[in-house]
Amino acid sequence: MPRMEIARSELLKEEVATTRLDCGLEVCVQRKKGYAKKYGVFATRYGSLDTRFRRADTGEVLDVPDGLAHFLEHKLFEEESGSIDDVFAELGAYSNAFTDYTMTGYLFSCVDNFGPCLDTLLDFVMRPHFTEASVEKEKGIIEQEIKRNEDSPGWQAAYRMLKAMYKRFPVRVEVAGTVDSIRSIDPEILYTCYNTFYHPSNMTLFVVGDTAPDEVAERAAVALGARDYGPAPEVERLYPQEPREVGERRVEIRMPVSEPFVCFGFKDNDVGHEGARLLRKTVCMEMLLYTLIGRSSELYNELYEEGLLDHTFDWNFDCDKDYSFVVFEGKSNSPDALVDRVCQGIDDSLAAGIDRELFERARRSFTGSALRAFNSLEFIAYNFLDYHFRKMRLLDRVGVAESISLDEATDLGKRLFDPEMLVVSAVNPLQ
Amino acid sequence: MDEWFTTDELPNGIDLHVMQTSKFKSNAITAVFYSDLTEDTVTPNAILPEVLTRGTRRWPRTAELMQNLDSLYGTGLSAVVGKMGEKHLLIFSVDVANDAYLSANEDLLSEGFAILRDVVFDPVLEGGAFRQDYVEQEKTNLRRRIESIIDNKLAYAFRRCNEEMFRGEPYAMHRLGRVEDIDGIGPESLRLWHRQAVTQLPLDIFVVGDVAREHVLELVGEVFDMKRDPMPFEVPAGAQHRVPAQPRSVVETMDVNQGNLVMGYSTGINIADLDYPALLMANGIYGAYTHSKLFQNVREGESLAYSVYSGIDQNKGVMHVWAGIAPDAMDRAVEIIEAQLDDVRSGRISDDEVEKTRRAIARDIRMMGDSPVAQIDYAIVSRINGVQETPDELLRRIESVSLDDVVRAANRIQLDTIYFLRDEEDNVGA
Repeated sequence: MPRMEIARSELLKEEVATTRLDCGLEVCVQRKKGYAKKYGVFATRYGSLDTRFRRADTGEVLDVPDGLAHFLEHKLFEEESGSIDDVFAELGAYSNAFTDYTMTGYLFSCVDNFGPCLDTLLDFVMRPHFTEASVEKEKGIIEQEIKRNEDSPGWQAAYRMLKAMYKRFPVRVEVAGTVDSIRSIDPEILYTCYNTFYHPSNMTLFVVGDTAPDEVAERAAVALGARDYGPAPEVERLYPQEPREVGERRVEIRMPVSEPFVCFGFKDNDVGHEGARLLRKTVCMEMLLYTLIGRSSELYNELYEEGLLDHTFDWNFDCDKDYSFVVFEGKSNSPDALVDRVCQGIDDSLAAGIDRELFERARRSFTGSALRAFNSLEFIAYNFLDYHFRKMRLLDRVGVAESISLDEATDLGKRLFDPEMLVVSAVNPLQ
Repeated sequence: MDEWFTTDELPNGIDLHVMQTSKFKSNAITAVFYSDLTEDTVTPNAILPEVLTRGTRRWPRTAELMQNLDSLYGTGLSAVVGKMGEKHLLIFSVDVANDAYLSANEDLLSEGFAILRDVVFDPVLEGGAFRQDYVEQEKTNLRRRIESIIDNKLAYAFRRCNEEMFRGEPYAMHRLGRVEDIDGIGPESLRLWHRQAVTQLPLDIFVVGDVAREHVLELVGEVFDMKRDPMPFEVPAGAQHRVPAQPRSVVETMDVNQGNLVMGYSTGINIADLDYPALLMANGIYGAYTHSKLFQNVREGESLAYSVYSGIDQNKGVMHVWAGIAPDAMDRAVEIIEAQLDDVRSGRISDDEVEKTRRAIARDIRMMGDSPVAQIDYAIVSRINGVQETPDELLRRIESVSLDDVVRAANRIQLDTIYFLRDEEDNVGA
């Protein structure tokens, strides 16, 4: 096996060892000395966005139903003998899976039996078993999952904002699909997608915990070695061309809630980046947002004192290679006033120039918070691959923050907070 | 998990519990005041942490207080109110980065203690009372928070089930207090209650991090040197709950897509009961995990639910079962849920189920060692219930639970209240 490459952060005193196995699978291990828990995450670069693609071997373009990647995730958990949860439970481990726009991940956490758990994880994900009966049965379960989401005001507001913001790009479609879209899913289409996207060369195994990286890599090589995965399928993901402008400026629904919930965001058309450049942009944006409207900002506290927002207020910068947007959300008794004041406050700060001292304070806050986050194996387990698949290094978050200048942050803000790109989505109480 | 808390009592009655470990990149500090759950104090308690984190004498404006936390490398500060059994807790936590990782000039640990002291003991005052504007804003926010419980349908169903099950008992109260009491709270009365609370309620301080006990003892002795006159810590006897002869059933309707079913059971077993490890096992076999009977039969067997679980309150002898189901599936769901419990009660349990559950509980207990917060929570629960058992000791008791123990514990579980929140179809009750 090739030597493992080491990426190290002197600041965090953490390192990640990486190698690629003969079958094409990439293995990354972050050792955490002294921790009892170990996580294994096995993920593929395949998510809810990938509903239209062309395979080079057949040349055929395939359109698959919305929600397919998520459905596939549910079904991989099932074995001929029952659910894979059972095998993990037998080993004293916890197991779960998740699907988002660009990836599907399967994970376990355990204290004992790490080796057998790792074997089980690699084995079941690489061995699909879909039948008519089990696919039909799953529709009932996923239908309840979709309905649970539909009753959540936060989910409704966010989902409707994206639907309004994007005219064509599939980030506007819910990850689980709809009750209608999943109806036509059958074993055949599941196998087609599986064979297209679950080749080891399209996947990464990440382990975090007190375990030796080379032993993990060797064990994974043995677990996967005996099978022939064939050549990696060449696949072209066909995303629709998204126009620059937003679809709708404002959307609204009514639900049985105590007060309005609002989600508003700015579409960012500066896409196509990944790696160090995208990491820099992400950290820059997080620091800027914290300076402008974090808990310690004058703007946040002003709006809090006026009762326009409360501690449910939050923001997020969600950026991938093919889409990017900033979103703010929270409860407010007056959503439109909140949106106006936040936008006005941000514009005023950027125009007048941000106080250097405030920015330095935000940098310190970011550094300490990013450091503290590495106490948590959950944080590392759930975020490492999310970064890695965008060719970004989670370990570098703290280091990058040290080199970002106020001018750089201000320029990014001026470009991104474009009033033309603003979309507001409100959930209002029933009349 | 080898390390555990070492306890020292300060001259002013504060109990300091320190655990030294080099595992983490920060030091976690938590101060807990133990109040009783009473009608008079539940609402003032709920608002107190919110007002105290608005400003201190040293940092009177909220923005300044927060900016100070930024300067100290994003020190985390949280102040919350928690309900554990018949106790109502005021919990103040600070998480400071370990300076060894930073080129900081400040002594972050000392600063962390100082912030905690300022927030708890040294609020910004106006003529001897809390600032009127802060109190009024937090009253409004508290009202909104209580009223917004309905926005999360499962949380709302839980609250309603609890209200019905414990009608007339203190445990029926929500941790955030009562809307009808908010108007009566003012800057003077709240300040009076604050002074009384911080000087008279028992106070524990927990510290987890790469810190020597002697050093912390010295620091806390200096920073928390205020005069206190604490009442002795009393383990609550726990109100006796009477289970109705026929389970109560309450159905409410709302404009929702999914039905939320919450069933309240009385177990009579809390963490201090000899049967507690057996109840943990019974609950695990029944519904706490995906290998449990509930998940296997309600979700996997019948496709009735996306989520279905059971959980126990370790402070109060209560178990809940909750399920998100189709609105017309209540009767069928209740029937299967009850049938699964009958199987546990009558010992229809495979060795496989027992061992899977035992391993899962052991895993959960051992994982606590990876989280300062989980270890502090465990210590608080032990404290409230007068239990002196480390996680390692509980682990050993779990290892020796037998099938007979499980069956005995399961037979103490009695259905009390069924609450169902469903859509507004015409056929309700038909």
